[in-house]
Amino acid sequence: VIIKYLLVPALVLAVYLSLRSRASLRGQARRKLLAGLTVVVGVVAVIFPSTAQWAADLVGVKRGTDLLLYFLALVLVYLVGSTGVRFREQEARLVRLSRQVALAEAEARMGLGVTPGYGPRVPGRPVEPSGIVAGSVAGSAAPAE
Amino acid sequence: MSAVSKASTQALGTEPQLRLALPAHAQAHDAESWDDTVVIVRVFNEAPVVRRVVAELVEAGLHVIAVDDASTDNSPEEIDAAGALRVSHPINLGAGGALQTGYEAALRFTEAKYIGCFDADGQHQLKDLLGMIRLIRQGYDVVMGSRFLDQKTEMSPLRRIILRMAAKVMNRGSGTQLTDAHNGLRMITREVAAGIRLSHSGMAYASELEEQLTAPGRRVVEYPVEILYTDYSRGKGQPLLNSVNILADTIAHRVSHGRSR
Repeated sequence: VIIKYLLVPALVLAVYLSLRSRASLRGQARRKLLAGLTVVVGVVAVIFPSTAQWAADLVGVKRGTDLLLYFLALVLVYLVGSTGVRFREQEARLVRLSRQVALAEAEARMGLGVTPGYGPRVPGRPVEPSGIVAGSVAGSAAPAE
Repeated sequence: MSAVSKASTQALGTEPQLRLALPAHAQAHDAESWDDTVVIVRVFNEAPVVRRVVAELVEAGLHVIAVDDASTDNSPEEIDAAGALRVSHPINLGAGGALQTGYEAALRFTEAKYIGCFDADGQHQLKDLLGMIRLIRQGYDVVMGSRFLDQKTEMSPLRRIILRMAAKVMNRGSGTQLTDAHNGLRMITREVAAGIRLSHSGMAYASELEEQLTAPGRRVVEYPVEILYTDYSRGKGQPLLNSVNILADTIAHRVSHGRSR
């Protein structure tokens, strides 16, 4: 039957394409085409109910509704895959953003000198042999004096 | 590769932008100085214990960067009181996300040659950490803590078996043979830290980290450490179930990343 040779590659293709459809222009265009195609197919199927049956007969499926079901399943697979990828990309972006916020906030506190024992880099101050700059410890407890 | 593209891929580099000042009391320790080391402590809702743990490190003369992973208790205040540099996530990023932040903070704010990790819940011991610093100074790139090099750490036989199994899975196809999986005590050099990219933010980070740390060409060595399963750490997590997670994570990582390097 022809449908078998159509469905299996289509399924593999749907998974493959969805997993590598990044936020690229090509991925966006592909999703838009898919959405447009779905609308057209839907409208045609509603206005001429016999077209679904005609297409089903063409590929060797018994009923037109079954063909519609296969088609919907493929669309679903593609959407789940691409949504998951987008979700993960978004999450990675969020992680990077909040990391930068955290580092910037710590840097700001160091610059203000409100972190006892830790201070801003003073230009021209000699670097300790260990490589860590001494200084800006005013106000912190210094028992070693 | 051109210099431009190299600079863009390594946005942080190894040059600090701000530096940690030397805590005044650290100068008293002229017997053995730990100025070349910064310790990263990940803190997530550890208010009852974090102050004691961090203060012990600071009093020993170590520089501590505590990554507060959006704690909802008063952990941030406890960290500040203990004398560590606090880096607070605005939202919870998980253990892996916190570790990556810690490494980036260490590279950005310090010139430390060695970067260590330490747990905030008190299950690690200062003497093990100091021993690992002494060991990495002998010219290693990575020093990993291991519970299984000696018999000091007390744990149930079942837990021991599961963790050993995870270590076996992890070692398959890798150059370096490790005896322990997911040990939180690690000591790495600045150069190694600059190359770490953790994409998993949750607990699954550990397999990924271990893969990056034991990359070919690295001089990796293990150091025997004793983990204290205190009542506090037992109350927080379930050690047995957690080791099952570790095993599952390690296997999942192996499956998704292939066996060959």
